[in-house]
Amino acid sequence: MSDDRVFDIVPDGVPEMPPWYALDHAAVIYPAIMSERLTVFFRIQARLDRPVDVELLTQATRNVAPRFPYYQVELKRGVFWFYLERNPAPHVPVADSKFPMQKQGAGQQGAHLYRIRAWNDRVAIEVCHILTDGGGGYILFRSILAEYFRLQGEPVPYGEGIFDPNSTPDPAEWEDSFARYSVRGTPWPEPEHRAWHIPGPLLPTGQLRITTGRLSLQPLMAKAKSLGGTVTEYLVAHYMSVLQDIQDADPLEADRFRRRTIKIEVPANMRRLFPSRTMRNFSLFMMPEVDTRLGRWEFDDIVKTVKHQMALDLQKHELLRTITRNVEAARSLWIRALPLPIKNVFMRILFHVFGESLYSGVFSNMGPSQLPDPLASRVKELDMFMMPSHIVKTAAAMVSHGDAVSITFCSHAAPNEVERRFFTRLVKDGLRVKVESNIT
Amino acid sequence: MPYCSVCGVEVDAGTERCPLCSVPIFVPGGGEAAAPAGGPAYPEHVSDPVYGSTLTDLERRRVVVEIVSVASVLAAGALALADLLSDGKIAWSLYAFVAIGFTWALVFSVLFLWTKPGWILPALAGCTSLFLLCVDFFNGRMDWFLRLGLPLVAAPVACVMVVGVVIRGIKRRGFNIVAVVLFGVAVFLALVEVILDLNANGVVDVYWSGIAALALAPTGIVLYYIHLRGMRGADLRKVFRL
Repeated sequence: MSDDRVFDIVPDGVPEMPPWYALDHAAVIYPAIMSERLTVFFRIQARLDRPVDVELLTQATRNVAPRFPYYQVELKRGVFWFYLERNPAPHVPVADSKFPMQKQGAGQQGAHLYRIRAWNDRVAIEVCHILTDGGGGYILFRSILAEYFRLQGEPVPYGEGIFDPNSTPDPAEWEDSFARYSVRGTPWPEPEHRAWHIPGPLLPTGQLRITTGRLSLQPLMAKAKSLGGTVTEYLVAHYMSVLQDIQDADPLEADRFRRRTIKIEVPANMRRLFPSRTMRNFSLFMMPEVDTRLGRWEFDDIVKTVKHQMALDLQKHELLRTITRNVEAARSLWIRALPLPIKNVFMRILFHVFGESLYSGVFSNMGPSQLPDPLASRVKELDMFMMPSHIVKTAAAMVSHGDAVSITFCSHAAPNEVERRFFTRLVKDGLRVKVESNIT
Repeated sequence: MPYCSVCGVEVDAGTERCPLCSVPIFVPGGGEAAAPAGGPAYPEHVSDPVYGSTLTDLERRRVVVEIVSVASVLAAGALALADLLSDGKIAWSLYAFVAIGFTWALVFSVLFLWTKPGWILPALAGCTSLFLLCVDFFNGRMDWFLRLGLPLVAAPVACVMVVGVVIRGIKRRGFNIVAVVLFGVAVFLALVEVILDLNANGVVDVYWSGIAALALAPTGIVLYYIHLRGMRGADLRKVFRL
């Protein structure tokens, strides 16, 4: 297929795909808070069974691009809001870097909001959250991988989150599902208290420590089940225990009654709860917490409280509160009338007060890889990375592929206490963990 | 598979140190560690793609100066033409030229001294003094710049620089910074009143700046005291007998 096709980013028959569109209600805050440290990128990477053929990957990327016209955009600055405008420039896969997910380029004129990277036998996609969440990004990645293998002669079937490049995009794919499901008048969420954050120095700007632990799914599931929880609940409980240990060891936290609670943000895909086919952002989060002012929490108790709190947070009615707040706040005439530079200042303050201050860490479980054969057998490892803010410092993401589970911590913190304690705890629980990092 | 004897985690073959605790990796059997099959997990080079039309900070500042320069020249030319057409000579437009030049100099100073913030204030003071000198010169009498204009520019600059130097020299920073700023404001107000009094009456009669100082100085002293006690770990309940 010729490169020209990329310039025809709205294929024939695509109804009403606008030349520009507004950011969805989850994304409006990201351009304001985007910085060299908090790049608001996430990354999904796959290690293949043989070195990457960059020419084929370039071709696959360009073949697939017209199927996702809503991702072929660049960020533009309006008077009152940022917006997304079509960017017909073709995608060029780029070499990977020691420190991934850097902001460089994003938000500048002519810059795409996702990039494909390759190195040795590894392919990665780095997607800016302005564009979509992990659900949308993973479908794009799977579709590119499938096209890459098809170009190599593998009969990869379409479906199961792999889009046929020649099919027509559905208008439901670029809808803002937050606006669709918000209910005017719904009470907003109750205000949350500030959470505790790990202390200590940061890595230099532009550096990010990636630490990936690989383990087997079956023993992990068995261990989680023995404690009465799911894999996510079990791992979130370990994350909380680690933070509790660090808090206990901090001399500044000696007075237990003046401590802040430990909370973990656990993103949840709203497409599983609300019937939506959107490929833009549509995820919210659960926020399990332990109040360490009450005393030291035993691990079994943390698993129990995480389990129940996550179940409560995942109630549709509770989620409606957050959806409605996000939408109603942006619809307020006062907020709409603020010029963008002033709005950006407010957004940064809001993000600090109502965003990063409220949780001590992030743990995202993307779930099983859902790759069909023969794609599944050609992918050896699959990882997901999430970018933390410099206040929260660490964020973890996991994904499973067959029996292999990958848990990756991305960290701005100079010491690697969280990762070291987390994986050591898993080893002490009898699990075999293989660890690798970009900084040793 | 090689593993860390401290953390217990396994690592890729060929890994020399544990990624978690940096302890040398124990190789079972004591053999030489083989290189990992697919090479190291991450490249050593640090690079990121540069998309679109990217400009460095310096280039951006140059573009802004260029735009302001072109706009200034066009504005000055239009005003000169209007002055010539209406009066047949350059008269009132001189004031406009000076104002445009002053604005240009301010923009230029800030943008090109951005990385040396310590020089921005003296540069702004110099531009402002020159602007006032020109305005005074154009009225043909030169009767207020040296007595009023220059001292009123020099007073705040001197105060800000002294306060800045003092703050820079302070090792333990807290409420004492606010205290130093308050003292600086009090001194600045006193200087302004002295300058105005000398110009208006020829004698110094400190009045309103004294009232301001009576509010600012005690506040500064209290803040400094709180800072000293707090930084030494003193228990304020004991100090105040609460």
